[in-house]
Amino acid sequence: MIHARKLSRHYGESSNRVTALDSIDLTIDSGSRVGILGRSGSGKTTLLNLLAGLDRPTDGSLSVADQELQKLTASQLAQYRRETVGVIFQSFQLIPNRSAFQNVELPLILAGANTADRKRRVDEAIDRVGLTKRSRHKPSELSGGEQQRVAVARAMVSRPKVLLADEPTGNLDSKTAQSVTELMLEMVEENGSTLILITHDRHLAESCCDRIVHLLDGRLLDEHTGSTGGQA
Amino acid sequence: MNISDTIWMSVHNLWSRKGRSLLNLSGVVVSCVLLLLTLAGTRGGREGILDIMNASEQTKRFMIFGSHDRSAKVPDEALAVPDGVSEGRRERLLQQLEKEWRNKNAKRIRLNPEHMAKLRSIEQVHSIVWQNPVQCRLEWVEKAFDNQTGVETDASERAKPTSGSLIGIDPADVRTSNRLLLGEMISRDDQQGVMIDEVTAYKLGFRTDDDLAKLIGLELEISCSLGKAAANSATNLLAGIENLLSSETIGLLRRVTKQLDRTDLSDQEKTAIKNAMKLLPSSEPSIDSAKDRAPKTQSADTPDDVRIDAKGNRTLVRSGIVRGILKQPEDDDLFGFLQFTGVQRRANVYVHHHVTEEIYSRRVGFVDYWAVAGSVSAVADLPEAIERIESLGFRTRSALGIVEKVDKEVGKVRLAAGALALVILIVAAIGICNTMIVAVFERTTEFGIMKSLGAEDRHVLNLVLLEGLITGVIGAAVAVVTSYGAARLISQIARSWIEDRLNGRFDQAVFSFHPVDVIIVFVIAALMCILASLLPAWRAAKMNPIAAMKRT
Repeated sequence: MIHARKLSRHYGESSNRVTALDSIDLTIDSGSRVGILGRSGSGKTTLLNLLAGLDRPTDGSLSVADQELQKLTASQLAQYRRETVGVIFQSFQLIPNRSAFQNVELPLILAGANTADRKRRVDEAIDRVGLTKRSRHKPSELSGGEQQRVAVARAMVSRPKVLLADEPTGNLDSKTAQSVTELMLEMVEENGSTLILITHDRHLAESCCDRIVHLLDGRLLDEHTGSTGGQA
Repeated sequence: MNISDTIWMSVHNLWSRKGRSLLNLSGVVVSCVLLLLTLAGTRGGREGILDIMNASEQTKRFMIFGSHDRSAKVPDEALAVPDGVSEGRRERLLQQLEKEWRNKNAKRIRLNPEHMAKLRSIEQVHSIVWQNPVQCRLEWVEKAFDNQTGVETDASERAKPTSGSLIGIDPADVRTSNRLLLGEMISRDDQQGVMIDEVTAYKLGFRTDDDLAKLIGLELEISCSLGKAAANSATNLLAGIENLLSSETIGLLRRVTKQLDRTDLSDQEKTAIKNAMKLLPSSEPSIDSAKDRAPKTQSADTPDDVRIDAKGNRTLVRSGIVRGILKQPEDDDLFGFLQFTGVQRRANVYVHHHVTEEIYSRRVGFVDYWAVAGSVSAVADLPEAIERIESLGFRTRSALGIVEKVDKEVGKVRLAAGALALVILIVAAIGICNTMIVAVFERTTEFGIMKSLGAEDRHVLNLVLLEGLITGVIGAAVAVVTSYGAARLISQIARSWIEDRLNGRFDQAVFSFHPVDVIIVFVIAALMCILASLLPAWRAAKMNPIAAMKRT
């Protein structure tokens, strides 16, 4: 499903050059749940950006769902983002002047889905995250947990093969974080998606994932199985 | 992302940022209102001036004269102007030298019946009328007089022959039909109909209003001298002169000739003048000798309507039926200008201009019509009509110079006002560009999120450009409505102001909105807003999504 070979990402030139990812080799099977653990600056988010098609590797290759990301054009990469991956960000990244419904609808609009199909799928997604009554509210009128539920619905509405979650509970209290995590896992399960969870929270990674990868200074340290033991 | 979704999202974005959208919209509206009012104002001003010109029939009229062939090449030696002559003076001298050379050497293009037909075929020409009076003798046909009127009192007085002038008119000419007092106008094909003016009728003895009514339907015998049958070239020339001069003028010349001895002229000169005057034939048929009118040498070749007396004088005789009575022409009418003073004191009978043209062209010594009057339906047709007439080689005199001057002046005002509106448009465009750059900056995160969800550069570019286009179109629509309202208000104020100063009514439009102007405003507003949005849209489209989302 996901194959990274000698994957590197450097920023800057010559003396100012910073290595965010340094020659990583990684293979992730389809339908698995992988936690990527590491401290700040370890390269977690850089890896997520590469997997999400938001950035391009400096060296090496990255293949997701049989697509060599480094070879794709800008337009193909945008299509990859629309159709293959869904991303959940720590800070929700909802468009402030659009309602919950409209935020969830956005990926489908970009994919060119027709209005009727769009409405049905968005209603289902919103209903799935339990925000039917709040669907006309704007993000500023929703709590943090509700906003992240909207973000989960938006990430999953186009039924992506890969769900990338970057510290999805980082801005939530523990109780809300628990419910959002459960929701996310349920939806991944229902959709049969591959989950890549970027976090620095070992407990969260261990509770959600069947495989945990450690990153330090842009290098892959080691990996072990999580509490789910591969029984996703 | 389909177009309807892009439009919907653009509208939503504009609506959700009402303050900024209104700011942009107001810039578009103000500049478009100024542009539209400028276009409508200058158009209205021009149309107003043309309306005033159209209201005056004189402005639609023109005179056509014969000319010398302008295609003939003037030799260089004829145009030799020495050095040391200033530019302006050289120009004037060259023009005069060329004119003189053409008068002397170039073939003269004369206005003959064939040319008249050509002139009448010009699309923009409403009428071509030869209006010079033809001297004639008028006599009521006794029988018709008695039968139709039954007027017995002073009937013999009225039935007396009288001298008069036949004046050609165009039945379709409103300047004539507007003068109709009684009866009806002669029709387009009526070659026998006759119109008499009220003063002529009065002089003829039909003085009361009831008398005037009795004139309708009366038959007149009209006799016109065609000159001597066997005329040599000298008499042709003199007959030509006679055609140009009224009988009064000829009479005056004869009286002056009798007084030649009192002048300082030499004997040789006096003799030459006396001899020349002897050659002048009588300018009109005798009105007191019925015997003279009897055909004496009528031959088989002579047309039925022509009688020839013993001296060889040819007289064309035709009958006319009085169709209507005309009021006296207004003082500013060109009729008054064209008619010789002497004619005014005599009987004026108006007939279809084809009749006078035919009689005149059949006169011995007929060379050309010298000049004819023409008209166009609207002043706007004048330039084209004059151009086409002059292309036939004729000279013209008309109000074209005034029309062109008005056009030129209006064009200058239009240009100046247009330039001002353009400056305002550019300033508005810069303002819109500025606010849109700020708006795009504020929406950096939004565009970043969109791109992270799979939006391509073109999606973002289209979205921002469409927001600009919608602003432009809505702004133009609001501007059109506002301009109509403002124009009504300004028109009312301007009318009241002008009427106060004119002390009369002012009905001309101050503003004239034309669909083309409205389309121009829509196109300019849309283009202006798209251009103003181009840079912000490009920036938004090329935004790095990771960097954009970091601004949260």
